[in-house]
Amino acid sequence: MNIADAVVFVVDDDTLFRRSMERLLSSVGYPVETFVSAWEFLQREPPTGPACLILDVQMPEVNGLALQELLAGAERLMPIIFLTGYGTVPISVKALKAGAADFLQKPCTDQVLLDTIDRALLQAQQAWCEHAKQTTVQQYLKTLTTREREVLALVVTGMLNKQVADALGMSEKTVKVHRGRIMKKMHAVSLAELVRLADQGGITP
Amino acid sequence: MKDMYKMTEQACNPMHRPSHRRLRTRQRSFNGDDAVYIPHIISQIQQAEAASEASLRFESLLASLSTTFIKTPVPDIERQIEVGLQRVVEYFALDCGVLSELLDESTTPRVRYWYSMPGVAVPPGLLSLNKFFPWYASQLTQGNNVGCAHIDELPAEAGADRQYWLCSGLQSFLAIPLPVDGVVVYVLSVATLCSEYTWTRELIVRLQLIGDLFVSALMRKLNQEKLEKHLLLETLVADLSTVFTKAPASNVDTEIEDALRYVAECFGVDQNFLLEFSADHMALSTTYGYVVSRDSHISPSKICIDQELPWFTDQLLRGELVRFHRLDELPVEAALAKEAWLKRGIKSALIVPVSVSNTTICAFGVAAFRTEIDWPPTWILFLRLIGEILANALARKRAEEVSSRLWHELTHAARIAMLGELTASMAHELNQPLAGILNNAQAAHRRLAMESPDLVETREALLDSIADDQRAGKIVQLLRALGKKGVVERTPLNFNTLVQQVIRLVQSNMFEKQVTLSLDLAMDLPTVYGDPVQMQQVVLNVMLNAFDAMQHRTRCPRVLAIRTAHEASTAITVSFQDTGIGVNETTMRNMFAAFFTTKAEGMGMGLAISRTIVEAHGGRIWARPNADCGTTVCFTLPVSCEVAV
Repeated sequence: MNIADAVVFVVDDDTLFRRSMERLLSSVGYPVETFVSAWEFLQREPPTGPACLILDVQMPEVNGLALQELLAGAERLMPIIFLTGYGTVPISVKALKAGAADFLQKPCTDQVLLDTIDRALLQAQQAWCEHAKQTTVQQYLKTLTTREREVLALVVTGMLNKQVADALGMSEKTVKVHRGRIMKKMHAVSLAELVRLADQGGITP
Repeated sequence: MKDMYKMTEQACNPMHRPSHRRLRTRQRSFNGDDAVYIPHIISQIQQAEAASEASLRFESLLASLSTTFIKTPVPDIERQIEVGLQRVVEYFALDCGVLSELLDESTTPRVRYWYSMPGVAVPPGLLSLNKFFPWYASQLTQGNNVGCAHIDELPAEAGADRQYWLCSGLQSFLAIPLPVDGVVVYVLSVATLCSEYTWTRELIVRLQLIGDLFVSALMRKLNQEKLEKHLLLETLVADLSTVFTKAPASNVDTEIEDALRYVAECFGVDQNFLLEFSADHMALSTTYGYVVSRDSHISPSKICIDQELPWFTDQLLRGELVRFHRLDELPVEAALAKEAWLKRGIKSALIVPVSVSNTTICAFGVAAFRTEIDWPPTWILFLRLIGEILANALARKRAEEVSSRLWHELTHAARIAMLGELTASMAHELNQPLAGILNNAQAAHRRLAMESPDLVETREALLDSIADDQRAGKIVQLLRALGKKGVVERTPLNFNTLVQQVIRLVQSNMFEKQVTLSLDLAMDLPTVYGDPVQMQQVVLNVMLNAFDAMQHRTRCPRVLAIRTAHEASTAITVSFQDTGIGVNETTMRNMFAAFFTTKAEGMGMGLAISRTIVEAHGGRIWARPNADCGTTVCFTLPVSCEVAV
């Protein structure tokens, strides 16, 4: 499975190994970008589409686990596949607990590697879509006025217009006008959809 | 002493012997006519004058010979005896004179010195006393003079001898046995070939005097030679003992070989050898031997006693020496040994057991295959002394071999133990290239399966695979070298390279223990000579120790600073500065001692072994506390200086 525009990043201090990864991944059609160190990778702009990171554990200065932490801290979230020459149980546990997509041992066959990458990219794409949706909802939410937000917050709790009007000290008619505008601004066709979008936008009853 | 000569008044025939002129005068004086009184008196006076003149002349000959021998230095004595024989032959108007030596009770004399008038061959009868002259031989050995004016005068018992005397062409002969300490050792024989000669009592006495003069000169020579030999052997023993006291264990082999050659030369034997017992004390084998090479057909293998010779072994084990002048002297029980030696052409041998507290540990022997040697008793002591010197040197060498083997085993064990700590690094360092190779191969495989494969890319993948493979090979080599129980080498080493090789091995450990490395490697670091594996072991050991020291540091960063330098032109310094917990004064003092450890699971051998290695390479290793925290371990190694490892 190929995911359009998905990028595979490789961070490994071993030049020969980096080159071999690049060769293998481009032979199956993945866009690949390789980095010699964690610093070099961190200097790259965050990707604009789904991506995954193949990361060596043992590296000078900033090792793989430290980079994983740094990325998490910077909220640059992408599936990380650890690939190590010698993985101990404590290291792999630490990596997986910190959210690694997988922990592979060098050398591993292309089938295992590519399957893992595919899975990671699928995960990335889903995350990306989710993220994209969220961004949209957030953008919709931003178009709401303060009053409209207040109305929305009460509507998603299942209150009737009358109850909302009471709670906010406005007429029922005004509430109806606000709801209509909200539905329009949030691109919702039903109340159910509005509730779901509000939920995605972090407005929960 | 019974005189077995015949007095004859008859003169020699002057016609044949112009050189007999002097004697003619004297002998003519025996002829006279007693009836004529005055002439008789005149004749008597003449006779007396002649006799006194002859006596005077003889005395002057004797005096001259005796002076000559007194003045003659030992090496010239033999030549002077031949000159003396010439003077005797000429003085007494004889044809030849021989001084022979009776070698032993057998009747085979050895002609030592002889003189014969020009054109006269020495008759065989005077040269050999073999089976053809039984009567003559027995007379001589009994100390009797044998002589006759003519062969026919020999008694009836000498029948067999006479036959051969006649064949030899002798006319008259006289043989005078010359005893030394009551045993006949030399024989002075004189003879005429063409004329008969009367052996007067006076003549015999004179010849005997001269013979005694010769013998005493020979005795002086013999004693002098014996003394010299004794001194030579004493010097030999002293020399050997000095050589072996000073010889390092590694040189013992060559020193023993040299010593054996020297011993053979000093003793004048054909071969000598050191025999050692097999572990079960059943067999003896030659461990060192020397054979004179003048006889190219005698190969050194001859000295090997490679078969079991129970009598011989028992004899030596009991502390008895084995000594034979001739093989037939050996007892019946020694039949097997006799056969073995006969096969090897050995004629005489003297083998002395060497014992330490009543136990025979080895034996030292000399043997002859060209001539039979009657071993002088004094040699036994010398051989025993030499045997002891050699045995001591060998024991020292063996002990050092054992201790050096044990040390190597210990070093090896310590190395293996350290390798155990490096499993992670090894796996990582090998898996890295293996993964690269696999990736490249799979990429190439995919490319080639495409419709229009990118051959350039494929070729590069293969090239990278080769590079990765070589990288893996180097790691395997390094590990194998560290694991190997190999021979100690001495090769030029660049410590910067060596340190980096070791870093590679410990990279995973460093990662695991979160140690950061700081390298300060000197440019143009001079080469040092040493064993690469042992040196890697030292660096590895010091580094692993530093990691352990830093393991319990949580606050300050764990940094190991490795520095190579060559402040002095004669040595390089390698230092390892850690930020560990440091060591107290007691530990600092004892950390390089064997079995000293501060670790629960430590053997306490690592740094002790490191110190031995460094010192064996002519260097020094020490530790000092850092100003802030941790310890610095340093070692120096001499630059390109050949030292024994």
